[in-house]
Amino acid sequence: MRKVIVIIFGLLIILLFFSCGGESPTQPSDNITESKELKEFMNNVIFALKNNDADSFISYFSEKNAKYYSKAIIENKTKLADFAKILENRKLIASDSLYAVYEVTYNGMTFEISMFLDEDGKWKLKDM
Amino acid sequence: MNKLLAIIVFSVFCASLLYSYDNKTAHREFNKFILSKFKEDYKKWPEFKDYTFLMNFTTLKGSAITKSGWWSPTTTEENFTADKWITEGGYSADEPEVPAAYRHFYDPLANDGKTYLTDLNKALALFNPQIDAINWHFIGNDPTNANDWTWVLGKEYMVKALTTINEAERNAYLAKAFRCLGEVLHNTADMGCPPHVRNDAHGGMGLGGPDPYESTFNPALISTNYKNEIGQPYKTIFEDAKTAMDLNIELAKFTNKFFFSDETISGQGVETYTSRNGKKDYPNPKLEKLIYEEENFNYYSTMPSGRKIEMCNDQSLLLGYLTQNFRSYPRVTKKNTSSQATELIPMIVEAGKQIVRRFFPLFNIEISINSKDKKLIGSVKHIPTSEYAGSISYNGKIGFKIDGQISNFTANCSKGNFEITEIDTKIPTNKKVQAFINFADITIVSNEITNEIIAPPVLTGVKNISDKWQRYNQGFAGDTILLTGTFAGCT
Repeated sequence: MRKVIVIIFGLLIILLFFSCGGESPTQPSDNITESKELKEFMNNVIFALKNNDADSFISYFSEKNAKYYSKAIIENKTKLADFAKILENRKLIASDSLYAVYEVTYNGMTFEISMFLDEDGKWKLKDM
Repeated sequence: MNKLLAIIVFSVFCASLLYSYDNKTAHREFNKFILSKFKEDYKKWPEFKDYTFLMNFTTLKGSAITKSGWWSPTTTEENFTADKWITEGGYSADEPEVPAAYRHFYDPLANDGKTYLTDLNKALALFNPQIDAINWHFIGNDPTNANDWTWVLGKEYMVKALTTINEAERNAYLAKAFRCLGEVLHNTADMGCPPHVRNDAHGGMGLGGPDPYESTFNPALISTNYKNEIGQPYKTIFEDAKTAMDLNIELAKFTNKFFFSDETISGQGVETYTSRNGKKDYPNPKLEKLIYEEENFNYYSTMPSGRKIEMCNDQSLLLGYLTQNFRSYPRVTKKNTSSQATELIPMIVEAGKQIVRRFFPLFNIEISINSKDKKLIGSVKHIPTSEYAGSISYNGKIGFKIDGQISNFTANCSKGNFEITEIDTKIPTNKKVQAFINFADITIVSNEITNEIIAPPVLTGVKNISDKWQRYNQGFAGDTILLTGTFAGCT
């Protein structure tokens, strides 16, 4: 247990060095951490999908973006639970305090799905 | 355990800063690499043939923002080198953060009738300064709060620094001048960021949601792309720009013309799209004029540099899964951002480099020797430019190099003129001499001349060697005298 803590601590120090240091970030990096709020938000989205709950799923989109997806979601609500499985394997590839992008692979193609912290303080799906 | 938890929380916070066009990393990086490019290139410009820019040793005391704040950031007195002041100006320009979020927009086309930000949710907006980013950073006359770190003030501080004789005062002015330059370069980086030049607000507090270009921009791309070639027409435009303000305006025009921001994409794609922020569509770019590649769902454009850049993408996982039609509305993805950055970063750095070039007043130092009076006479003549049209009378210390080595004697320059008397005792005969001025580790040297004045001999002994009786203090015509001592030009 102690060994594990030491390893975690070591990794965190390395992370601190690369993310907060005054030196130039010379290497583009995709190793970023998923915040608790983001994880929670994605869990809620996946929960709605698993229940084929179209209304709840649509409510996670921003108003501006929901209009592009609502019709297809409502017409295909029985497919939502299976769609949830695709989202289980996602990789966070960009994140700041207001915006996050995950990469998802489906049928050999890679897709970006993005979300943002809306002005009401809630995370919303933007592009999926 | 609590300590470990604190470290984890702090790490997550820091990791969240790894991406984005923020002032803590990205803007500092931009300023750092703009300065780096300036230092790499200045010797190519004839006006700087006598200049050397180091800017990394002497510390200059001044006020710096050392802790961010929405409304009240922390300011402390710091001793930074010139290059550090410039880098930190990239950071402090975004402080305090809230008003900066409203002031840093400039629409070169005034597509909504104004050059400042109009894409505001008036119900949520905390204030509306109605000033565009160019005006704010160069002139700064916002009636709600004047900008203390403008281009105009920066130049004033530079002139004051070069006309005061007091060393401490000079360094204080230089600290302010370089912070101003750093804050203007922040504006340069913003003018190469699509949402900042297309009236596309972002960031909350009445500014709508975040912008994907800003949020997914990877600051590490600056160091790897800052030397990329830019289009020849823009090289010429930047080279020929009369003023620094023209440079940032030209950069803004380029970014506005060649790039979409996420909410200002318009044209014919799967259907006809208009700007999602509800504002009038921009004339360029247009989806129907771009190249669409079905295999990756990207719209492409060939830039003035010749690079093929991803403009936006309309791929949708959800719609594809549900309807088998993977095409949706176009938006800017993270991959698109990285592609666009390869074109925008070098444009920012090239424009920024030219801004640094225009920040320094030009001087010509000339020296000559007056043999009759045994004087070295010199002048520090200001050469007027578009940025420094008035006359600058340099006051301050003048240093000298003898055969390339810094000498320990100095002169004081007053109103652009200086002199050294009794040079036969200070500069050895036939040695090469140069005068120089130095401020913030920037050195300007004079022409090089050779001292041809023969120094008077220093006698240490006299002996009448033709008088065999060696009568003291007496001699006759025709006697041979032996003089011993130091004689210029003899060994």
